[in-house]
Amino acid sequence: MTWTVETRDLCRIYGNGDEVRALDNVNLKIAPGEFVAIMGPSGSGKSTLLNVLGALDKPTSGKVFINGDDLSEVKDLDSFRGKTVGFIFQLHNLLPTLTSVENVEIPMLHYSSAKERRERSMKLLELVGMSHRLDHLPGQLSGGQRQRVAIARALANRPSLVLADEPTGNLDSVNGHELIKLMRELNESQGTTFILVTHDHEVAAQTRRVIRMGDGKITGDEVINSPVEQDLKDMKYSLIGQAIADGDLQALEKAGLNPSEIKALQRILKR
Amino acid sequence: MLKIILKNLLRRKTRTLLTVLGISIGSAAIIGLGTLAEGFQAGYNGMMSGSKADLVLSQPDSYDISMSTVKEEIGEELLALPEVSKVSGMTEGIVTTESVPYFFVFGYPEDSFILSKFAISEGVGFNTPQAGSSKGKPVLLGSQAAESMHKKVGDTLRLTQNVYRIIGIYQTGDAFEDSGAVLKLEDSQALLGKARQVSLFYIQLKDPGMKASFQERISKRYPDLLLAGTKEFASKQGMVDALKGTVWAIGGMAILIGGVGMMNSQLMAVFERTREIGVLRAVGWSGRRVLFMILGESVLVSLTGGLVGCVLGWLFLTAFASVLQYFGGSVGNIKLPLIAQAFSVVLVLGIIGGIYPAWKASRLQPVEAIRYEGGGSGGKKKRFPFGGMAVQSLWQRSTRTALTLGGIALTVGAILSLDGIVQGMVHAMNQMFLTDSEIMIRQAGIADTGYSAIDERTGARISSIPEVASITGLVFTAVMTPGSNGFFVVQGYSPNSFGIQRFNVVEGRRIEGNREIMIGRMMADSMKKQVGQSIELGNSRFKLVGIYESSVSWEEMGGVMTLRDAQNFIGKPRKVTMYAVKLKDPATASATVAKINTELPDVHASLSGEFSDEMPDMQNSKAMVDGISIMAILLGGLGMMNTMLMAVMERTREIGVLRSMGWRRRSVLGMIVNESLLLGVLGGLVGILTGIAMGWLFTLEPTMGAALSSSYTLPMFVRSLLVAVLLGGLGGVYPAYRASLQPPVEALRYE
Ligand SMILES: Nc1ncnc2c1ncn2[C@@H]1O[C@H](COP(=O)(O)OP(=O)(O)OP(=O)(O)O)[C@@H](O)[C@H]1O
Ligand SMILES: [Mg+2]
Repeated sequence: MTWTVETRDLCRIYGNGDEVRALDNVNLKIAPGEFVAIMGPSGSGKSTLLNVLGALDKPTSGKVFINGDDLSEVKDLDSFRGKTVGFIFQLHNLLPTLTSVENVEIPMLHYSSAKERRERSMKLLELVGMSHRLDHLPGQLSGGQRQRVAIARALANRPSLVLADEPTGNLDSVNGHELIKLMRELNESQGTTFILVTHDHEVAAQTRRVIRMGDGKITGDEVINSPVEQDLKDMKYSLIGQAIADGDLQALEKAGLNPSEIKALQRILKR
Repeated sequence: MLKIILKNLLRRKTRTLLTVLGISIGSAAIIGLGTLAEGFQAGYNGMMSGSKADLVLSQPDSYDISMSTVKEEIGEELLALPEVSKVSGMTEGIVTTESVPYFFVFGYPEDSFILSKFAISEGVGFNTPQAGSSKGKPVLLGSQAAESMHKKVGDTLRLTQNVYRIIGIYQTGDAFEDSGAVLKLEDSQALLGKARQVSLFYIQLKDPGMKASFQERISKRYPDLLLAGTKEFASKQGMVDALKGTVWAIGGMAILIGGVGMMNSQLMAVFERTREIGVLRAVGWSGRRVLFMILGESVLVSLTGGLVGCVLGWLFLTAFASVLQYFGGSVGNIKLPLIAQAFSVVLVLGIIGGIYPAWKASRLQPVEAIRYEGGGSGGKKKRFPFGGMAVQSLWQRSTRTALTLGGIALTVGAILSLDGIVQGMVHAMNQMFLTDSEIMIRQAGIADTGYSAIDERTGARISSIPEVASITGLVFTAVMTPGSNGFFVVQGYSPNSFGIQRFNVVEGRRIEGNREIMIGRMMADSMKKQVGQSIELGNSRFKLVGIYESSVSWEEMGGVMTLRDAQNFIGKPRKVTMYAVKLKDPATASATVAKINTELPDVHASLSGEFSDEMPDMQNSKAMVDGISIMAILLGGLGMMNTMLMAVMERTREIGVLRSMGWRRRSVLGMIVNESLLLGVLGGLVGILTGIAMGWLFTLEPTMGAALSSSYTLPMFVRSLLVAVLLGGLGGVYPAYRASLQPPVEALRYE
């Protein structure tokens, strides 16, 4: 299969004498439609990774493939960014002199007609629940509302990948929660891959996969809230679930599971 | 505090540099031009005080020594008076030489007591046997002139059409004299067209205590002459005032443009740091402290600018020393008070330019400041009803836009208004010469039409040219209106000439004989004179016989007398200022012009339509306007560049965001260039209005204003607009280019 994101021995080194290995041999694969959180202490290279993935920054060595294309071989990185990637930043996100609708139109400016732009922009703002603030300037919006507009803008050119660097960093937990929920809905309905950097465990708990970084390396990578897992959780109160919880091996074997499978399921259900 | 201020300034080096440069041009203008004016005054002072005379007798109401005339025979009478020990006439005039447009010529009698101050450093003086045996008319050359013209004793010197032999080189220490030349009185009278006339008499008394009684005697005996002490006389020269006025006009403009630039740049500095200021307030800084920080920055910048300006001014004077020395504009004349003046102006600039931004910064609410999103009005302002990104961006950042527009508008306005006035002068001249003549003739090689003097014998030769049908001589001069500082433009026409027909007399009649005068409607109103009354001009009385109306403002502000009267009035009998020539066949005009210019080298003929343009006065005015324009463009360009630079820098992150969304460099560049071009066009339009308003303001100036009128042509507007767009473009493109070169990650990280 083609991965939405694939990196091979990715390195990004700052400085020459006193060098900082912001990314140190990162190997990573992210499938289409995934919803990934990147966590890690400050300075561990999260933003750097996002920038390199979005072709804002170039790796010192190693390769990045986005949808199977080697970024080092992409000629027109500008249009690559415009069409394939959407960015959401923590701050300074919207152009202060333009309204919500116009801000969302900006990425489409060079790719579609004025009418199409306006239509799509309105639709996206509706999607993010901002249709009542179409003609407001950023200064007239709350922090959470600005980030919603930013999400709409990130989706403007139907990117296959959205990169968000601490999108909720500036929001309170209720707003942050809402925002992540929105992204997840979009992830499910549009099939867009989301990668977001966050320091917030609650935010991370809402995603489906958490990658941990430390000193430029990937130190952990686990799948959470996977559909299988959810199914099993739902099963918890069913007969089979009860049987697993109780360790009723007979009932389970009757259902066709072998002992090692039963052990794995037991482990998941205990969480 | 000082450390923080310095850090802030050094953090934005380009901006600080540009602001410093802008300010320094203003201060350089004050120093350079002020020194010129001082030098000019010093030139007169040195000339007068160096003479060791006690008193000076001259024509009252004359604008400048070179325009004063006194009968030579009065000298004898003066010498016979009991108080007088010595008397010397002097003529002074300005001519053109091979290499210098303005060259001072002085004439003294060979035995003048004044000549003792001309210390001969090489060669000999007039009163020597060698002088008598030299080939050609002898001339003494000033040391500075000798140096810059590379002349030595024995060389020839050409003044207008005449050639003289240099017999000596002198030094007096006076800038005018050292950069000019001295002729024998009769030679200078011939050269300057002042036969049996002098510009003034220097008088030495037997005893200074006799001044009072002597003064009384003179005022009784020569009521139409002016007796003054040498110092007093030197300070009364109209040229000095005119030059000082020019200096202040130019200096004022430089200061205005520089001030707007300063304000702009400080305001941007505040905008740019809004968030930072919010943080400072949040950590406990008082509003006052913020105010002093911002104010401190602008004062420091302007003082540095002042310093750089001093150096620039010095460089300017040194670089153009060879030309400027003729006006006394030498580095030696940079005086402490002038430097102090420049610095106080610059300081005031810094404070005025800084106070509003500082006040604005100190009033920022910490919460709002921290929320600041970079440039927008934060939603306080309605959107402009239509227009794309560029329009909105300018509209939302209204303070900055207004300031930038102000800067461009001032620049363009200054250029346009000056241009308009010169054009108005040309237009007025053309109107004046709109007789049905095909050719106009003036004296060749003169620095100003005011000095033009053509002998009537030359006129006779012109009218004998077979193609010529008839000629009209006219005299043209300006005097100070008695009792006021204004100008009165005197024209002399012979009553039966074809030239006089063009005056549209609305009251009374045309002049028919000597001692009669007709004046313009405006002058009649301002002097409150009616037909039948008499008018006193330069101590002659004229009977007012008619009032005319004219579309030329200075004709309205002047009068017409007979050619004879005018010739006597300016002390140049049998000389005219210009000739208007009517041809038998207009088709031969060009050929005849060429013919006159080759056959009669003393005069310069032009086609009527080109005459005004070719007049040296116009050429000089145009050169001056060009100079001022260049300065204004420089200043305005710097200011514009600064503002755009800041605008772009402030938006570096914005540019980063655009790039992250897939915008190409080109598109980012295009967006900003669009914006600056729009700003340029708007600035140009506002500038044109400003220019017209400024041109109108000039006419309110008390001494010369009424004689000025502006006239505008389409190419001038187009040029103004072009300048504005160029300013906008240049100001915007470079910073935009720089910003677009930045890699997106760095743009995003920009603080
Ligand atoms: N432009 C740069 N020049 C030099 N070093 C840099 C640069 N950008 C980042 N670094 C270094 O690279 C490392 C990783 O930085 P990065 O911004 O990716 O961290 P992060 O994980 O996003 O941290 P945070 O959670 O604080 O945002 C840090 O040690 C940082 O100091
Ligand atoms: Mg980061």
